[in-house]
Amino acid sequence: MRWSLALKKATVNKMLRAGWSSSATLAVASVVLSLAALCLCSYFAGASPLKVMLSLFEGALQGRYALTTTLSEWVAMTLSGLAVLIPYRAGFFNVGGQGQLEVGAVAAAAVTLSLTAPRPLVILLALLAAVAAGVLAVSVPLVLRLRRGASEVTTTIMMNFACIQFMYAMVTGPLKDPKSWYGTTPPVPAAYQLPSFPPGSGVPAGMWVAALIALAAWWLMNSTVFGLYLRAVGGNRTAAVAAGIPVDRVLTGSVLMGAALAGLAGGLELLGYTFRVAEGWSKSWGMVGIPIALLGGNPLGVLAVGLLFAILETGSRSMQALTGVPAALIYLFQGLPVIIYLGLRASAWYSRWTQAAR
Amino acid sequence: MSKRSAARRVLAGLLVLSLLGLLAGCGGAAKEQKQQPPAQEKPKVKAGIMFSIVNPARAGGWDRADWAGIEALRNEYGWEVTVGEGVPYAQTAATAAGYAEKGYDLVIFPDAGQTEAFREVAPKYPKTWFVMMSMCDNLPNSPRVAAWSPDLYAYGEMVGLVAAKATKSGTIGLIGGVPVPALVTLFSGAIEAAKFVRPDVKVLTYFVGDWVDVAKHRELAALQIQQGADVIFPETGPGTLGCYEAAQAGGAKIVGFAWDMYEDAPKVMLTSVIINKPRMYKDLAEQFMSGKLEKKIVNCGAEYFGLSDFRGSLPEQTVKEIQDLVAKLQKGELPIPVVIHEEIMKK
Amino acid sequence: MEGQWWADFVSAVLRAATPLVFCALGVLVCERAGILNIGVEGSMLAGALAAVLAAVSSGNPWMGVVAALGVGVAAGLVLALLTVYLPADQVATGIAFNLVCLGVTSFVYKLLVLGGVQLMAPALRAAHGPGGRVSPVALAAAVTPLTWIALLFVLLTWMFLFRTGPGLLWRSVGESARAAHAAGLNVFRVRSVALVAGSLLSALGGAALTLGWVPTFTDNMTMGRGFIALAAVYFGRWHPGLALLACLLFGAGEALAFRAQALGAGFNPYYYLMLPYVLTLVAVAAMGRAVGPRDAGKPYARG
Repeated sequence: MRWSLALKKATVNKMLRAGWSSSATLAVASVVLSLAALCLCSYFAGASPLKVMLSLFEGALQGRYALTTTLSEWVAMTLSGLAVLIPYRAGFFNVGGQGQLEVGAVAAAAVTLSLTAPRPLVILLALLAAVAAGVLAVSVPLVLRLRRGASEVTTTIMMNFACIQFMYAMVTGPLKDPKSWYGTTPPVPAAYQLPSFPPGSGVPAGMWVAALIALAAWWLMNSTVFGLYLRAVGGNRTAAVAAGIPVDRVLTGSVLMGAALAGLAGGLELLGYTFRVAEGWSKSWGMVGIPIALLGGNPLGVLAVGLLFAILETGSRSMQALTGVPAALIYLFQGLPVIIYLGLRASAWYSRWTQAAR
Repeated sequence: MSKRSAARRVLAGLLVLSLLGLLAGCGGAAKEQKQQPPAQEKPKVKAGIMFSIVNPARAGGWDRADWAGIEALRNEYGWEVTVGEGVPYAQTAATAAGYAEKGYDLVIFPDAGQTEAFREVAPKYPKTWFVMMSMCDNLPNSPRVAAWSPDLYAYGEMVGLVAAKATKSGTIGLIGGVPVPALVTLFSGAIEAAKFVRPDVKVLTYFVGDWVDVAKHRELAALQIQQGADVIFPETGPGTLGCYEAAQAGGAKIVGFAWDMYEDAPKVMLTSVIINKPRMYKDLAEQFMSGKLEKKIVNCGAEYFGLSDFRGSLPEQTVKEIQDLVAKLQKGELPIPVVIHEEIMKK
Repeated sequence: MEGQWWADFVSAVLRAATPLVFCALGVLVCERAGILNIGVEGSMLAGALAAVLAAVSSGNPWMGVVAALGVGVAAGLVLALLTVYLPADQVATGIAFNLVCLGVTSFVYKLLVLGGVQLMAPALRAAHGPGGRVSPVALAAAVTPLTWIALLFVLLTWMFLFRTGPGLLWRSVGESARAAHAAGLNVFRVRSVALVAGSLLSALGGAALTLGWVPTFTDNMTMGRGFIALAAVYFGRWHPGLALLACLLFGAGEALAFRAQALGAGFNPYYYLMLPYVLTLVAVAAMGRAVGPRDAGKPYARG
């Protein structure tokens, strides 16, 4: 135990210095570079780069709707990022965040639409159902990984497809709103919607939940034995087994935790933002969680990068709608920062720079 | 180490540069393609419209009909119309509010999937007009809201008349994207009208599961052809192209949805049952500019629908019979029963 | 009627499986050299667009195939640069690469078709529709040439990987890059070649999707088929023949899903549409433990 404590302190220090002082800067740098690319692009497209940039940030931050939307996006992005990050530390690449999020929302919708009880109770039960659904969705890939050695990258992707079909089956079947023209559940009753906090401010309560969870995850990963085990399992499995770490249990714990957060993201978005599960109700939050986790690097980083991505997502949609530049630029903008970041981080220039920092 | 790192640095630099260059290249091409609406003297009416799909001008018939409406607003009335595309339903409310806050005169919703945003945003910006150009049963609580709501049952009836008259095998295929209530209504109208024209007709109704996967659309259309359908009506989104291809390979004919789709597949297009969206948009423009726009739902029945040119795809005689039937339908002279076939959603 | 049903079914399965087979081979040759080619979806999409554009502009579908090959090589070089030479995380790079490809293809498509009509490319068509009987001759004529090329490639890949000397070296890089390096192999070069070959095959998969199935392009038209190819490789235990079987199984699942809807058993169609994915997961569960190339997914840095 003492051995592990000593290791922990050293790791934390190194993490703090190397992780914070460089990884975060690098993430920001890659986003800035992407923004520069967008400027260049809009300049050549004949739109004023200044106007495009302005409408991007205005679209994300100006006005009550824009802010509420950005903060709600932040909730989904942070939790999806953590849903990738935590299992990733233990060596499990959870690409299934999207599916877990979708079934989480479906479960939460089912609870709010079928139960009549005091508000806090229903909200709590709905969120628990969302968490349970997320866990259920990941259990298949997890069991296949543990029992069959099946690569989770492929099985979680399969589960994504299956979960999305299931969501469609629900919104056009048992949970459909008979009064609507398109495939959707009825809206979550106003009594069971998540209030904003502080009341009336438009700040989604989910944001506080997500921030608290990110803090807790940071504590869990950096100041507990579990966090240490996590890194050991993800780093060198053979050594972890030799050190007597319950490898499979640590892996299972982290994966279930991740999936639970993805499911929770679905529940929070439903109760606090979209209020309906419908065809096309969600964005690809689960998928965007992957770059967020990689750019963030640790739970607090995920929180920060999540905010950045939320601003960019809301802003770029609004920028597109107001300036009419092709929507394809938005997809490009989701991939580009990651590629630049990965390229920069892997480059020799960077490794020399971090060595100097140490 | 140093040699290797220098090489890596160059590689990383090259990569970033090439990506930037790629973007710049794309942007450069965009410049030439950029369309400018004709300039006008007066302060222009500004309208914002959002599509959930991208490239509405090239998508399935529904959005293309809206696009024609937008062109009418731009060219005939000199409106400045900003088009948002690929706006997810979750983002519609924020985008609509964005238009309202930027001082747009009107915000237009072309898609019933945007109903939630319509209800949510309209009451908060009572100075802006919010208009739904799709199915709408009741309006949000705001003074400046309106809707042009197509009667999908009547639309389906027109489709059924055409398909039942045109089929030789006696089997017609209806393909839907997602089994949504709107499609159940439309298909029910088509089934009843087809039976009215030809009591022994067999109607196949299948759903692809999404609006976009071209390959799946092709397979489903091919399956219907295999089961004897020789006239197919696809009501979906960008995936519709797959149905055309299947019809071309399998020798079936297509009834186009909502807009004249002849250009997309000249060899297989029988005719298209058009939703006259430009007329709805022009109604809106006329009323808005003369200050007569008021809070109301306009129910657009059979008079808003029509057939595109047959271009010799059917014998003169059949074309005439179909046109007579359509004229009667528009006058309300066809006693077609109204039956909603809920069961087609569960196939 | 019965024979007709089967003939239609088999040709539907082959149509659906052909693009998957190309992509699965593209993933397989990479994983055998120790690279997880998650970028398969992006390469496929790029290949699909290039094939349609070239076929439309030249009027010859085979020019489309050539264009797809070119784009595949380019995609392979970019991926090799990122994941072999830098080297960056393979999964993350792949996912970001897919997003960038989605953006670039949608953007190019938008620019090219603005003002024009939908692109309808000349297709590589089957000689004729499936006949009334299931016979090898009838089926041979009922599928597109690309299906035969795909089957040929399965055989060639198998022969190369398991029956030739270079194939053995190739696999050794995937098993242990360090050992291969110690034995005097240039790991970087082998992996780069693998990525170029893999992306080329993925792009061919895109061409098979467009020219051989639906000769047009829409945004994101691959709809996750590249990911299904990834699963097929796992399910096929990194063996070309078994991967082919996995692709056929998936194609059968998709064809069955539609046919089940046609029977009208009174369920929501989405339960049937889940079929191919569930079937794949069940197959993975039933297959027992499989061990892939040991170094797949691990970046290799000399030092």
